[in-house]
Amino acid sequence: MQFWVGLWGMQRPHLHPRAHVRMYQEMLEHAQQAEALEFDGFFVTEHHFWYDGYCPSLLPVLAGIARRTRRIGVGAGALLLPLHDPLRVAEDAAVVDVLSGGRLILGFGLGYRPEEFDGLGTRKQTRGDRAIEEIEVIRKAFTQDVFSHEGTHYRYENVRLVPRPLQQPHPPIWFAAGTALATARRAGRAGLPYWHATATTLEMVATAIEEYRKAAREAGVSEAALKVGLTRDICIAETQAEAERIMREERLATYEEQLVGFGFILGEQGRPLKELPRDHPTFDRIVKSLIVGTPDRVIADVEGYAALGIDVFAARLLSAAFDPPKISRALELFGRHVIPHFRKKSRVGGGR
Amino acid sequence: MRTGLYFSVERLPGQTAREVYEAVLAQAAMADELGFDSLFLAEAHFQHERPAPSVQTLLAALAVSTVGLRLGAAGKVLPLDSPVRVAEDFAVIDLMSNGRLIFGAAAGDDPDAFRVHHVPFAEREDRFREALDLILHAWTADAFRYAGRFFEFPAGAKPSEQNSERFSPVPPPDPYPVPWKRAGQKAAGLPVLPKPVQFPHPPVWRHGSNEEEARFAAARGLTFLPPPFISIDRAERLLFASRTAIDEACRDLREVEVPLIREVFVAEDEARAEAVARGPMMDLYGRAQADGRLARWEGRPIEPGELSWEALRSTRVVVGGVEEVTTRLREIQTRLGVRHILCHMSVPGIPPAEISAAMRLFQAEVWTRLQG
Repeated sequence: MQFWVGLWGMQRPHLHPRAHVRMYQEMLEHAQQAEALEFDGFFVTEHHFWYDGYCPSLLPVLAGIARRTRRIGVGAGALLLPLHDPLRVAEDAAVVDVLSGGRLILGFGLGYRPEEFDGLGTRKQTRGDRAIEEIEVIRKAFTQDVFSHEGTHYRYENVRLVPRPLQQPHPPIWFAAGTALATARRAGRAGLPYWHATATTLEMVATAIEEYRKAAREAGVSEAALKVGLTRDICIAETQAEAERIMREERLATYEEQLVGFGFILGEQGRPLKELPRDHPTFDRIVKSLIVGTPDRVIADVEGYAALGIDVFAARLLSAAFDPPKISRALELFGRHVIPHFRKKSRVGGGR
Repeated sequence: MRTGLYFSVERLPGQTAREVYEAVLAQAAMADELGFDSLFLAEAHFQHERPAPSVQTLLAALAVSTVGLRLGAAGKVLPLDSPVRVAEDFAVIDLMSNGRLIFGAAAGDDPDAFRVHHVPFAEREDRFREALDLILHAWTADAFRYAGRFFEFPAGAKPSEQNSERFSPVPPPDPYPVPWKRAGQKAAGLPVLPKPVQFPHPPVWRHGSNEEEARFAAARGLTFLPPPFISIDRAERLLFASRTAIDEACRDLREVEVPLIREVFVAEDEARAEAVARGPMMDLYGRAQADGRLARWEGRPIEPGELSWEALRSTRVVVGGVEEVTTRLREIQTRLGVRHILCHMSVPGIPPAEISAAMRLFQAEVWTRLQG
């Protein structure tokens, strides 16, 4: 099992105002620290037109991370493909793969905020189909000397992508499509590695993975093509009490601001709520999805997920305040205690 | 006079894109230490010899690898991309470089790239101007909408009812500036975030190729960057048009820079400089002639006689010992009024060690003489 760490979005929520220019510098330092702690991948995440200045430009940021690190995988998790032109993504991604010496990991998501589709002038309604078609275009661009594509949404004639990526046949592509069962099935049918997002319970994760594998089987996709990644929010500290304090005081308050801000939480008329009751079912589900505790407790919880057959565990260790020393401390605890536990185990089982 | 480096990001047969990028990054790190002022990268799409389709990612890589260099594109081809995406990417590069971005932008002149993206080539200048307008609003405005001929932001945006302006600010609702339309509300306007570090926005250099484009830049207080390869006479005419237009627009030359790209190679003496640079520079101009870039940018066909080594040296490239190179650049400085010379030293075929030596010599000897 690989360990990735994410998802840096360089956000400055109302509760924790900070200068963006500092956050981009600090993110690079965290990437270097994650590499030193032997994480396998470092992930950044995108949104657009969001009040907290959420990072909208993953591939330039990944190019920067690539030049400040040597070994760690550099990943988009997720690049919201239906918002973008597939050829522009292919061009930028190929250059980042070359600049990183072949370390790029492409997690493609669908996106869900309607503003982002309106702002970038693409249709939300067709996002699922377009994501799959865009992946097809990008794969052709990556692997064929000169390619053409005649699809439902995209049409290209005799195009030569220059340069091509360094990794052969191309950088790994993950379908990072939230938590909905429909997208899990879509990933399975397309034979794409499936990356499950945060804020679901263990049972929900198990069901999504089951649906993913079932859809793949029904579509005749070979078992070898299938992979599962999972992101979890983690509050880790030396003592259980401190981890719970971090959850209560730092994570949940920011979660609340973000959930209301993103309009996730709908009231009775289907309108987004402006204040979030702590006993709201969505909030309750989020609290249940968090991994909170000492390194030993975190190990135990991660083992529960690992038992479902996970290839990649992506930890979100960001302190809600995006406070660099707190993030560093969490990286350190996870990197020094949790990762070695699983590495030791996999070596007994025949090596990683 | 400010000194910068220009990279055409070209490769010779057998060279990989990785080798080209690593050379650019190594020379950038060195230029940063030697005190060059700036570094500019060309953009090109779908061309095997020019692996430069993603100036955003290369500039971001340079941003984290350098401390003092101003970083720019020469130029980002605006009609081939979403203007909002371009505004976002370059704002992030400005953040990553802590305010060192120069936004070099162009209308594009490669019909094949327009064909691939289904963008009518004839509309390139109109699209360029509207895209630039939208990008400048995106960097400076809070929530807004934009109803242009080619671009709408957000989709479906209509001109405001009070006036016919393309741009309208939209007051943010409380408590969050983004209206959420999950419940059926449509966004009336959106903010493009994060904002660049530089205020009100990064300097804009219009990379253009004719008098009309120079006038467009001048009227808006933008720096005009003439195309590479052109003769001194052509450069003089374009920069004259630019200066005249700046006066006519009641603007001031102090608002802008006056840059020019030149192939530059300096060595301890003329014979050595020629021995190293002649072949690669002759080949460079041969390729630019063959693919039509020379004629396009000069504004007329180029006779083979104009590409002899003697002709190149007298009208285009700057090659020689310290004294000769200084004299030629002083002439460009005084006769053309150039205040920012972008040296294209990394000509394909010149060995990296020779380029490094030329960069050192240039900053140690030529630079000092140009400041006097």
